[in-house]
Amino acid sequence: MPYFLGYTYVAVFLLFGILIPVGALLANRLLAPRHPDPEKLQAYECGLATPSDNTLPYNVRYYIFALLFVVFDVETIFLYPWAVAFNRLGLFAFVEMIVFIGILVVGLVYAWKKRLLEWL
Amino acid sequence: MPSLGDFLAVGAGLFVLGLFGALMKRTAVAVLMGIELMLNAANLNLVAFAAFSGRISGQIFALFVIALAAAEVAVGLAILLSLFRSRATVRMDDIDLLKG
Amino acid sequence: MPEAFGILTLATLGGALGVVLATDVVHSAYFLVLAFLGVAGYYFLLGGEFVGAVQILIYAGAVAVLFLFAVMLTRRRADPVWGRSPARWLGVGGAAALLAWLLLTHLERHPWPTKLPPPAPHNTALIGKALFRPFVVPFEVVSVLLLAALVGALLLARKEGGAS
Repeated sequence: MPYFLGYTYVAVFLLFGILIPVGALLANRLLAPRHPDPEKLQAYECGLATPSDNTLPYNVRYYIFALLFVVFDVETIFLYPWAVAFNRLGLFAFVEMIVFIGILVVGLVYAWKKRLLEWL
Repeated sequence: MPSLGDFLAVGAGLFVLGLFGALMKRTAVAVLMGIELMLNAANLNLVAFAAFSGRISGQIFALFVIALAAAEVAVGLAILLSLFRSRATVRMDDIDLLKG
Repeated sequence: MPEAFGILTLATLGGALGVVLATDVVHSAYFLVLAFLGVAGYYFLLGGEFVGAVQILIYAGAVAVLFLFAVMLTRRRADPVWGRSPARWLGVGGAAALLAWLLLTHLERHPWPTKLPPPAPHNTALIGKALFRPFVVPFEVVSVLLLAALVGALLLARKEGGAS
């Protein structure tokens, strides 16, 4: 099945990608000295006793950046096949893609003008 | 060699699990996850039909569905965050302002 | 090939089951990633290379991050399915079981093709061509939809925005 043989490379990369971090963590576990006691196992918070409720109100910017990332990630998935087939598509597809990007840039400009791209 | 029916059966299983999760979970985030599972089941069916019929259209449909699902999750979770800010809860049972 | 199908089925349905049964929403999110990766595996198995890559990039990558950030920004509480009322279990469980039974019995009756046609080469280029010939209008509509989603979601998520 020659089609799936092409994925051997992917499998090899995946294998090394898993083995290297697992190996690093395992080496740390084997080599580092470990003498745990209840005091040491507490979460460290500037030397103070840890408050019981650990649900901190995070900054909503985390979500906003993830949101922008998702939208432009989706844009990329349409750019990629366009780029691959570009030679056979001609001017029409080029103009269509410019329109596509132009519409999405409006969103980016909106985020920029509302100062949502800055970390406050 | 798995047949087209096998892929559709997995899609059916995925859809049923997603439906069950969407209706049983209390947390709104988990309900959205169930909806995502159902969309994935539909996508799996589209790609399976496309592959077994040797045509590409099904894959394009799947691509559009993925784009729509991403937009849907983005808006859904934004609504959720806004709801959490005004009502301090994301439990579906606690959001009963319209019950009268 | 059947082995790969079996492993992927285990990952996909196991992941989906984990999403439903996990008590902690964060664990649900991780199981969701597993299910997404399983579905991506099916796409590769079916010769839909590009859709598979997109599935990993968008679902297992971007959407999962979005879910995790949403969990991070809201309060986390245990959400076990077995804590629901018996009436709900009966209703939802019965409906889900009925749907599964209907779908699977009908799937069984139909003679489905077993031979997968060899996947066409240059999958991504084919998608690119189809995207700009018969599917140009939906393609442009997607950009408008993404713009609407982006602006709407930003407006909702922004701290100073909203009616309150």
